[in-house]
Amino acid sequence: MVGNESISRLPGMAVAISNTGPLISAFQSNSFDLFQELFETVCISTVCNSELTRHGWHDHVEAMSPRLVVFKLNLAEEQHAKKIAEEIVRHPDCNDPILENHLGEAQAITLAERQEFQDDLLLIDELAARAVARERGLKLSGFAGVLLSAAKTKLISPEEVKQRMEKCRAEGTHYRASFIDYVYEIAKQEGRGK
Amino acid sequence: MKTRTVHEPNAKLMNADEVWEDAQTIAAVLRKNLLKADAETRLRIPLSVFLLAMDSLDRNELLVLQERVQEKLAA
Repeated sequence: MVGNESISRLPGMAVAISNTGPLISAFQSNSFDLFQELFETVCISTVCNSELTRHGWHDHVEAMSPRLVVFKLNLAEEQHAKKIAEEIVRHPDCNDPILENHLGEAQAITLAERQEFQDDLLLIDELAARAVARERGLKLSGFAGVLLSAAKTKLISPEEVKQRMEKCRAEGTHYRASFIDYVYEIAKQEGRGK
Repeated sequence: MKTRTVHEPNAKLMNADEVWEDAQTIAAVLRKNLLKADAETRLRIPLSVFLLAMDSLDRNELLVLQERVQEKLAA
């Protein structure tokens, strides 16, 4: 399941490179099907895979193969990811100074910087890592953005957006109630074509 | 039942006002990939392959194609 080769893709299909957080949210709310609707493949790094295993989601990762692919970074990329982790630690929105705790985000960013993924999407929820990714010119979204996209394209209703985020919250993901309400309101507005 | 733990419970997550922008980014990424596919199709399919592919079309599909060709010729 772990590879380092380029993935084959159908013409016109986009790929998402995900960090741990958005994938856990997708698993918690049974939303990986939406990822499959929007993206041909979801790619994660080995560190992200280890984090998912540590949090108890290994069976889900296995079950989603081959639409979920684990990539092993090469040595140069691993070094690069460590530098990105240092950038995340230095960011004012980062409240965890332990570099190793940011290797998942850093490896996802490094993977997204590969030439083959230059027109693809990085999924990341943490504020500091998002800022670092944005500074590097990457195209990114969080899990809520995926749900909103799914609502805009009528894959799910605005009510389902809210239900799925509330399911994540009930399972421990720290989406604030006000955040969920805000996303729900936008989904309703988008559904009305505004 | 398997015990599941929360990932980085103290990390600051994205702000609400970024969500709309995220959805716009996803739409742009999907659109860009679709447009790339269009360009590749025009470049990569030789006319002979296209003509050969017509042999596999049934009557209804040929009628749709005929209509499209007539529209293009009339334009």
